Order: sequence, then C-alpha cells, then structure tokens
Amino acid sequence: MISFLLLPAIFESSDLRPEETEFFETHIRPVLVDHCYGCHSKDSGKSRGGLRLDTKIDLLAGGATGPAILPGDPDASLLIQAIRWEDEDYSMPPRRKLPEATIRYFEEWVRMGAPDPRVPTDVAAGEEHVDLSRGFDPKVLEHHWSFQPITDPPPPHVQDEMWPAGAIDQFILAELETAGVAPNPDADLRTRARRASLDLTGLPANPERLDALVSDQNPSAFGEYVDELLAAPAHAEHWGRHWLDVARYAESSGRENDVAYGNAWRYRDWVIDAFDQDMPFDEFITKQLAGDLLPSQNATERANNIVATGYLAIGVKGHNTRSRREFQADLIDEQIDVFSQGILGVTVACARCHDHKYDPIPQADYYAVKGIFESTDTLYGTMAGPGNRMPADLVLLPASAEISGGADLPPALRSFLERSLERSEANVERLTERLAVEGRERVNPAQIRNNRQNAENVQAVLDRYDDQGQLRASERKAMGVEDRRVPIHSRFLARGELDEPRQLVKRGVPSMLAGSALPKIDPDQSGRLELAGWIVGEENTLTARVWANRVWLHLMGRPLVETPDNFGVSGMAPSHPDLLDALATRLVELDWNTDALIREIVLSRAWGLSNHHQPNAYAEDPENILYWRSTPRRLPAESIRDSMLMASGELITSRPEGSPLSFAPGSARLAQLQTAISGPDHHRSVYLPSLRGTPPEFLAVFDAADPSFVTGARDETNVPTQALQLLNDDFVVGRSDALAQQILRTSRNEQEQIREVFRRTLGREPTPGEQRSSAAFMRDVSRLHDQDSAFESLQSTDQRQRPRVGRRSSSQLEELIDRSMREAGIPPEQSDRVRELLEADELPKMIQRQLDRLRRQGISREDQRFPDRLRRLLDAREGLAGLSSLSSSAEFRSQVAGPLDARTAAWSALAQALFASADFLYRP
Amino acid sequence: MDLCSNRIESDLCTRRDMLRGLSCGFGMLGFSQLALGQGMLDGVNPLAPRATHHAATAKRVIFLFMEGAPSHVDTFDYKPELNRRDGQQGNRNRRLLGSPFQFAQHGQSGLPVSELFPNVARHADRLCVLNGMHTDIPAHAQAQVQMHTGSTQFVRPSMGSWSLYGLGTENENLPGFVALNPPRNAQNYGSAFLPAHYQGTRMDLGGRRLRQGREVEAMPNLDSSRLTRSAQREQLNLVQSLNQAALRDAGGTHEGIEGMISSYELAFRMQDTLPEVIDVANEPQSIRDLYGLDEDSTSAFGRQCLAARRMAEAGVRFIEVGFGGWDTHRNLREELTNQCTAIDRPIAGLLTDLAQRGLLEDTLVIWGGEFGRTPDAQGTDGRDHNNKGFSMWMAGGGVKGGMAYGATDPLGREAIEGRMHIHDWHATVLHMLGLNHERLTYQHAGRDFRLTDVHGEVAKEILRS
Repeated sequence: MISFLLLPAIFESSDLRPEETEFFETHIRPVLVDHCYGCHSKDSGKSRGGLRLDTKIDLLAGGATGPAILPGDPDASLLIQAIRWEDEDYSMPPRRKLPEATIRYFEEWVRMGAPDPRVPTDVAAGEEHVDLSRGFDPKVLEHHWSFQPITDPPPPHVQDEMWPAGAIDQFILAELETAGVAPNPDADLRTRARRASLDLTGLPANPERLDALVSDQNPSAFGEYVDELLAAPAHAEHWGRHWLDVARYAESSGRENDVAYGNAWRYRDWVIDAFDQDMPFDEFITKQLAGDLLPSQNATERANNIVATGYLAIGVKGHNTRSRREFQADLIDEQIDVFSQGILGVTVACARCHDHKYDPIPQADYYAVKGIFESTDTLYGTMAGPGNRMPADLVLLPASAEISGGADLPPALRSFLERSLERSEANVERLTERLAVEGRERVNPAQIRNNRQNAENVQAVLDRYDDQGQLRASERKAMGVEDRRVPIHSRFLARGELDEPRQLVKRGVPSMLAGSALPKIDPDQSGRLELAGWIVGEENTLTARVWANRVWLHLMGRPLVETPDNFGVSGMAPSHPDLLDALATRLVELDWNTDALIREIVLSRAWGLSNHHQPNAYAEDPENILYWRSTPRRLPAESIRDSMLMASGELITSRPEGSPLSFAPGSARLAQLQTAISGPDHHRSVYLPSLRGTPPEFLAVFDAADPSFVTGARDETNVPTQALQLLNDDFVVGRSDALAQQILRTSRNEQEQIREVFRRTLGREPTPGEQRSSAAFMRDVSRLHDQDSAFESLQSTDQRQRPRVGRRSSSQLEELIDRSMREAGIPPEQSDRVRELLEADELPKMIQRQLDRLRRQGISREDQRFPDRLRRLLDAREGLAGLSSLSSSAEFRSQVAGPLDARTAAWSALAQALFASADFLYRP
Repeated sequence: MDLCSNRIESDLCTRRDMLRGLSCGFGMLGFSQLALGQGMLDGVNPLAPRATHHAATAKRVIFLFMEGAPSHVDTFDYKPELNRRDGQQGNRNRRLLGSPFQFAQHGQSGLPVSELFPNVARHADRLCVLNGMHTDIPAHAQAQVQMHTGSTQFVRPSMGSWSLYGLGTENENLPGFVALNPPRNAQNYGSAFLPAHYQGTRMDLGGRRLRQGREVEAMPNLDSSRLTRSAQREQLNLVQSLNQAALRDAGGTHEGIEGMISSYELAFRMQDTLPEVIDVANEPQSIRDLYGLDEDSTSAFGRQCLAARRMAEAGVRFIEVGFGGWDTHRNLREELTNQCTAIDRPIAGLLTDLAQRGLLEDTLVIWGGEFGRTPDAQGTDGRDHNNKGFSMWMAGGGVKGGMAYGATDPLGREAIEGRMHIHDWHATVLHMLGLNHERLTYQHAGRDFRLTDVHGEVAKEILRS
C-alpha cells in the first residue's frame, strides 16, 4: 500500500523538438526571467494574482483570472492579452510595455502550442516541499468493512425453511431467529399492491386495477403487477427523483444570488429517461462523469451523453466571487464532494485542507482528483450581471440530434421582455445624457452599466427564439463539462490555502482507496473516464454497495447502512453486512439493472410484511433494525402532492417541455416571477421549477431534499407547519374542490359518494364507522351552514392562487414587488403610497393633471425635462401591467374555477379531511 | 441509531436530563407527545428545554439586524480625530468625511452616542457597545450569511438554529426561533444540516404592508380562507378520528401518526395564539406610544419590536427582527437620519418595556449590521463598505452596561483593540445562553460541526458574571 503514497516526482517528459526548445530559450525564457519572474515565480517568492510562471503547468493552471495561456490560441490567452496591454486592469509588465517584436514572439510561441522545456521536476528543496505520505495510518484499509472486497455470501440456514421466498428473506429471517423476534404476518394483497404502486411509481394505485388484481386467482398476478409498475413512465419519474436528491439537482446556483440555470432541466429529463430505459447503473454513472468522452453511434446519443455530464455542472456556486481561481477551486471542491459522497459514500472533500481524519484519503489524493477536474471545463451557462461575476458558456449540442427544444417562449413573456429591453435601452440613453450634464455626483454610473447589461442579456434571451417562439436549433445547449485543451496537474495547497501552493500532484483517483486498481490516466485527457472506470470497476468496494443500500432504503424505509452517503470510518456499519454484500453482488450479476434488483426486493416476504405494531417485537427492536415489520413512514413530499392531483383527476402525467426557468436572463428574479405567475402547474412534482433560494413551498414543508446537499435519506419531520398546510393551503383546498365536483357529477346518493371519495383518496372502501362519521360530518357542516357559520368564503382557491397585484396575497409576486421597490431605493415609509399609485386602476387626479400639463408643454417622457420621479413611477406601472397581463392570459384563466355552492364546499371539506388523514399521508 | 446522530455532549444532554427537563420545566401534559419527527433523541422531543453547559445569563435573544450595514462612525463610535481631519486626503483618493452628526456623552457611564439616537441614548447605561467588530468580506450578501452562520462559503446552520438546538423551546404553542423580516436568503435563518425543526420560522410582518391597516399573512396558511373555525374544528375532529383509527389499526403505537395527532392540535391552536401574539391592536395607548406605533416614521419597526417583546415573553428562544435600508453610499445625512429615526424610539421602547417587565435581565438584545462604513467619503455625502472595523451593541442578558468594548483606530477604519470577529461574537452570545461554543456540536458528513468552526473566543470582559 505504501508504494502508492510515494508519488512520482517526474512527470511526462517534454519531448520537444530541438527547434522548439531553441525558440523558447531564445525568445521566451529571457523575457520571463527579466520581466516576469520578479512577481510571478517561486524564486522571488511572489505569485501575484495567484500566478506563477515557473513551468508550463503553472502557465496552464493560471492565476486568479484563469489559465494564463490556451496553447494554440494566442488571442484567447490571458498572458498575451496582458502583454498587449489590451485591458487597463491587466497590463503586464505594469511599468513598461514589451517591444512589439517580443510580443509577436510570445504570440508565435502560444500558436506553436507553447512548447516549454521547463518540466517540473518538483520535489523542491526546503520548506516548499511537503511530505505527502506523512502521518497516515494505512491499517484502516485492512480493518474497515467497506474497503474490503465485496463478497458473495451464501444465504444462511434458517429454522423455518418454509418462510423465506428467496435469498433476501433467508438473510433477514436468520437475524430475526437469532434475536428471537418473530416477523409480522404478510400484509394482504391489496395493501401490498398499494404499497408497490407508491414505492415504485410514487403514485397511488388505480382503484379499479386494485379490484382486478385482488380478484385474480393467478399466483403470479402480483409479480405481473410489479412488472407493470416497473414499466410505467411514472416509475422512472419517481426513481429519477431519488437520484436527483443524491445529485443535488436544482435549477439555480443557490448561495447569495441564486442565479438561474435555465438548462438544468435537460439533465433532469436525462436522469428520468435513463431510469425509463433501464440503463445499467454502471453506464449511468460513467455517463454522468465522462459522457462527453465516450464514443457515440449518432448525434442523438452524443447529445445525451453530453447532457449527462450536467451532473457535474448543476451544483451550488457563488457567482459573485471576485476571484476566478477561488471560484474554480470551490466549484471543483463541490464536484468532488458530490461524486464522492453520492457514488462512493466517502467524503473526499474532507481532504482539501488536511489528510482525512478518518478515512484513507491523504490530502495529496484530493489534489490528484482535483487535477482531473482542473483539466475539465465546467460550462454552466449564466450571463454576467449584477450579482454574477462568473458567467459561463454552455455546451452546444449537435444540431442534428433528436432532442427536446425545451419550452416555447410564451408571447406574453416575449412582450414583457421586449418592454424590459426597451426600458433598459431608454434608461441607458437618458442616464448617459444626464451623466454628461449633471456629473457622477447626481447620476450613478453603475446604473448605466446595469441597464446596459440587462439590455444585452434580455436581447440574448430573445435571440434564442424564432418568430414562432421556438428555440432555434443553434441554441440547443446543455450544462455540462468538456476536457480542457491541455490537461494539467494540480498543485498541492498547504492547508488548502490558495496562496500556499506546494509541489504538483499527478492527477489520478484516490490512491489508497484504489489500491492495486489504480488506473493509468491518459496524458491527453482529463482522466474523468479513468475515474469513472475505476468507480464502476470490479475491484471497487464501494459503488455497488452504496447503490444497493440506496435501493434498499427506498423500498424498505430504512437503509442497511444508516449513513447512506458515508460508508467511511465515521459512518455507520451495516446492520446486515452479508445481506448488503449479497445485494451488491446480485446487482452486478444482474448487469447493474436496478429494476431487476427492485423486483427481487419487492417480491421478498420481508418487503411484503404488515407494518403493524407488535408489542413483543417492538420491545426487542423498536427501531425495526431487524425488519420484523414493514417500516412505517410518511410518503415523500412529491407523492403527497402528486397523489392529491391524481385523486382529483387533475394530474398531468406527461412531461412538460423544458422549464419555465429557461427564459431567465441570468438572475433568478425573472425566473421566480415567471414561476409565480405561470399559474397552477399540475405536472408531477419532479418537474416543478426548482430554485435553490425558493424551493417549491409545498414540497419544502414536507422535507423535500435541500438541493444544497447530497441527500441520501431525507428528514421526516412532523411539524405544525405541515398540519397548517394540510388544513389551510390553497393547493390542498383546490384539489379537494376538484375532487368534490367530480364526485357530485358522477355518483348518485350520499352513501355512494362517500364510498367514491374514499376510493379516490385512500384507495379503499370506507369502513362502516367511517361511513357514519363522514355522513355525520356532512350533516354538521350543513347545520353550520344553515346557521351561517360554516364558510368564510366559497370562492375557489384557484382563483385566489392567481396572483393579484395589490390585494392580500402571499404569492411570491408580492415579495418580488417589495424587493424591487426596496432595490429601486423607494424608502419603506413611501412604499405604501407608491404601491397604491402603481396598482390603482386610474392615476390620481393630481398626477394626471401634472401629466396633462407636461403634455401641453410638449414635454414627452423621453424629454430631459420630464420629471425623473414621475418617469420611474410610470415605468413601474407598466412593468406591473405586464405582469398582470401575463397572469390573466387565456391559458391561465382556463384553469381557474368559479365560486362553489355550499354543497360542493361541504364535500370538498370532506375530501380535504381525507387528504389530511394519516391513511393518506402514510405508506400502507 | 439515529441517522443524524446528535452530538451535544452527554453531560449536557442525557436522556435523563431531558426527561427531568420535561417533568419539571413543563407543566403541560402532552408536550412529550408532541413528537416532532425522527430527529428525536431516544424518543425524546428534540425541542424540549435542555440543561445548559454552564449557568446562563440570558434565556433568549432578540437580534435587531440592520440589513445593509449602518455607519459606525456616525452612530456609536465617536471619532473626534476624523472630524478634525474632515476633508483631508483619505484612502483610494477619497477625502475623509467627519461625522455630520453631533455626539454627546450619556448616562452615568458617559457613553458617547450620536444625536441620531436620542431615545436609545437614554439607555446608555444599559448598552455594551462593541467597537472592535470585524468581519471577512465587505459584500452584503456574504457578510450577512457570515454574521448569521459563521461561514461565507458553505451552507451552515444559523445562530438561532444552534441556540434552539442547544436549549430547546419554552413555549409549546409557538415556534422556538422566529425571524421577522429577515434577509431574503433563507440561509440566514436556516438550519442547514441540523434537523428541520430547528429552522427559523420566517414571518414578514410589521413591514410596509401593514401600515394602512391592511391585513397581512405573517405566516402562510395560518388561517382557513374557506372554513369558519367551528366548521374547521368539525373537519379536524373527523381527521383526528380517522387518525385515531389508523393508530389503532397500526397496533396502537405509531410515532408518525401520534406526532401528527398532536401537531394538528398545536397547529389548530397556533391559528389563534400566533395572531394574538402578532396582533397589537389591544395594547394600551401607553405601549403604543412607547414603541411609536402611531407615528408614520416609527410604526413599522415599532410593531416588530413589540411583536418581538411579546414573543420573548411567550418563551420564544431566538427572535430576529430585520430592518433594511442602511446602505448609505449616497445621501448619508438624509438617509441615515431617516433610518435612525425609524428605529430609535421603537428600540428605546423595547428596552424600557423589557426592563419594566423584568425581562431585560435574561433577554439579550443585540443591535447591529453586517459591517460598518468607511471614514472616507464616497462622493461628498456617502460612505462605502468597511468590514475591518464596525460597531454593534448588546443590552440585557448578563452583559455589562454603560461600556464601550474595543476600539477602532482614530479614524474608525480598522478595529485595533478588543477586536471581535464574528466567530468571537458568536462564541460570546452562546456563552451568555449557557452554551460552550466548543462543545455545542453536531455531526454531519463525517465530522463534528460548530457554529464557530475552529475559531471563536468569548469576550469575558463584557460579561457581568
């Protein structure tokens, strides 16, 4: 083992042709020594702007503003731009510009590919060098369970040989017998079928299908039902969501500015499609880490492989970071964190500043992995603007690929954007003139810059769409990664500090974890392909275990390893180590087919046990570690929401095209607005727009994963805000209304109606007691209604969901307007008055008179003399009018129901009570 | 075997301690059934009051957060030298700007306070002004997040969440950590990796929207727009009977359903109790005057301060009250005057009101923004961001009064004495709450985390005991 810690001191030999070396020695090195080393070399002890110029690697790694050279492309190389004095901030050398001839030599040199004989021999003398192998105890490799090879243990002997339905049950029963705990009886077929539907598709079972299944005498009927569920698109959506938790999927950057990622949805759809196509898990992983480096049969496959690498691009980022180097280091750290926790179940990112405290991950290994990602460009696609100093491109997808074009640009939004563009352009013009006249004291130049930037960004968004509002083929792009032109090695950073660089570390996978499976990295590639190959390789002891444990968790309610994202020394040991290995082995045997593994688990007796409480077993094992029963648990947030939509018959089961966030020019502001006003979205929850800063409220309350983190196991909190949401939330009341209206349309008498409402919500018949209490409830509500004390309002909640500017509303729109006012510098004590002005149907007489007077004087709004405050007010009014017109668009109106009658409202209250019941919210 | 294994040290948080806490601290039957999910420690309610590490001087915190960074040299950090050198060359080719506001000494302590705070100044002997504050980054969003969570880089739990995690709550009808008009970024009141019940409950009230008697939803879903309370009670009875049946079906024991049954009752009660806490309509005129509720300039913040006092009284552990608009790059004279006018009387009222109710003794009131401002002028009438030195103050909760702790250089540019980084400030606040910042830890992603990371020193000099 130790040998892997001794890193080779010498890297790839330079292999330069003699004339290349001569060119460098004659024209380049002397200039560097005379004019650059003083501030940018190891010898001078200075690395201004984080840049050193000692070796080619240093040039490629670059400094705070990015790589110093792009071999072959002088114009795009910062070094060349700097010595040309193109930008006043980066004019190098700072005192005197180099002679033109010298500059041309540098350009020529970069064009040649920057041949550089200064190969880092490293292992420099003195304090610079860090002993990379220091102080690490390799014994942990021999002792810790998850670093041992995965075994294929035979199923243990059990006393009750009749009980197990297969190997899984033998492992479970053996432990139960040892502990003297009896397993619960099997749940009945109906319960198991309801459970299967929820576990596999996240949606409640169709009541008619349940009836047919229960009356089917064929013993294979349940297995066939499971196959049916596994083949359903809903299954891919539900299990895709499980992976999206682990992949910390969201459509914005999070952190302080929450910049929108308008193309993240492609990755979301790719994940769901991968589950739908039964993509083997090893391929699934490889594509996310290195899809761009894989061969492909055709343009469509190529496009999809690129989209898969969105996994590495969608993470949390602080786009307002000033230093590119710092931004880059954090971005890579996030990438390392997400794949190591999510796929390997180890926390490699812990080794950024020091050797891992527990696991065999020396700090040098972190920098080996970092080199792989430093040799990779991450293209996340955002526009520059206030709050975003780190814009980036996207990866262009092959034009001939058969892929979605995303959402069309709605006409209302187009005109809103066009107005925004006009306003920004007008502002630029007006402010520029005023600046010239009144000076910087009265006019803030930053406002001009911001307006200009906004105009450019909005224009860029508009340009993506053709006249029909469809995305142009040339604009089909994805978030993802690409190899850098020349791969580099990363510098070891003492204590993880950017200004404490030490020797270079050859890029590679975590050496101690890899052991003898350490792959050789292609010197011409980043190494992501080799990393992926090692991760899904036969000798990897973690990947199959980690995934098998996740699959088990989602079906059984508790994982075998209680820390699903941490299989390291500080994580928990598996409760059933042999079972975990058997599942991992089986997964690989099944060619990494997740669905096949799911099927085996669902057809086990252990999965199908009743979840009832048994005092004896509970006393022995209250936490159900032995799996003596099916673990009781609440449905995931998405299932709660989707099940309500399903019960009310409103669920849109098809996939939406793209995402409403696609139209956001950089900042999430417009995206939020668009989401807020786009009205009720009745697609499955996995498709709801997901901004890190403002996650879908309904889901967040029920513990949806926080996309700032890798989330293997969600919280299951039980807080009053959830109860309040179920009792009072407009969405819940709206679904109850819709269900009530349908019940009243289709069923004849009250008894039948009660039956139907139970079947639709709970998937079962009401008990006689429930029949009685439901009927009693209906009577009570009627009585209260007669006393005029049942209903506050019979207005449909969907109507109230429609954001109305100016009245009581908790919508995001309201918040956004407030924030905009604050940012526009309207003092709080004036904002009420301003709001009223903005929202009033007619302008107050005083203002109207002022406008009339100005018009009579021939002073138009474009005129210099037009009062600034009045202009701002009118601008804001028009902005709001744009929003109102959006929200009252025909498409939106059609979804809004009218007021209800008292009878329907009473039925709605009954339906809502069922939605709010434990029966609905808990897995059967 | 808890997934998020809780690492409050065993001397603080043994099961026995907590059971004792439950039986003594809470007369209310049924609170122990308020099982708030799987974050429970050995089946004990995670929000139950807990024993502290050492004797606490403060039981709760009211944090008046001034979003946008108020100028220290114009408010609480008196800089005669800056005034003398007014107009002389400063940094970055800017001229020094002496404070346009007069300072005077107040109280027996003679604490200097600017004329912007005539009412707060009357409480000078209660204030401990921290003049040696400094933070890492002179940008609002990052500095705000650092002030609330300690980190500018990572998503970490906020100070309020740590406090609630360490101490539990004292009111079964209200959330334990309330954030009134906090900064928009939810990280500032989020629980990050701490279990979700430690998250701040955000309420937007008392802001501009309330001012013309308009109703406002302080918290979503706090009231049914459809059913009257009596009809909703009928509905809830039906829900609960279904839940009871489900519980029986499950064999009589089911943590989730039991928790649900109690949380429905709490939620139903909160519909009435929370608006009551928020609603100030029934306060006597003397209280309305104290907080300036009837003045246009002070009513917004006054209402929030009053709500904070009511929540403090009701046992809410950590209350943040946000007030923005301090980013005075220009129009310093006018804007700062307006800003201070809006909060001066409400804050003074809050201190008076807390004191007269005997609450100031064990309520720590904190005032401050995410950083300070430069002694150099921006334009002729503005100041830029300054993270190297600024002022905050504390009052009550065991802090010494009438004291200025720490100092900036003569121009107010940089903290040079009694320097207090955000980590130190966090350590000190936790200390007053009876929590040792080095021992209040939580395990996440393979290691123990603290509010103060690996930093933080308690400023013992400002503590009364």
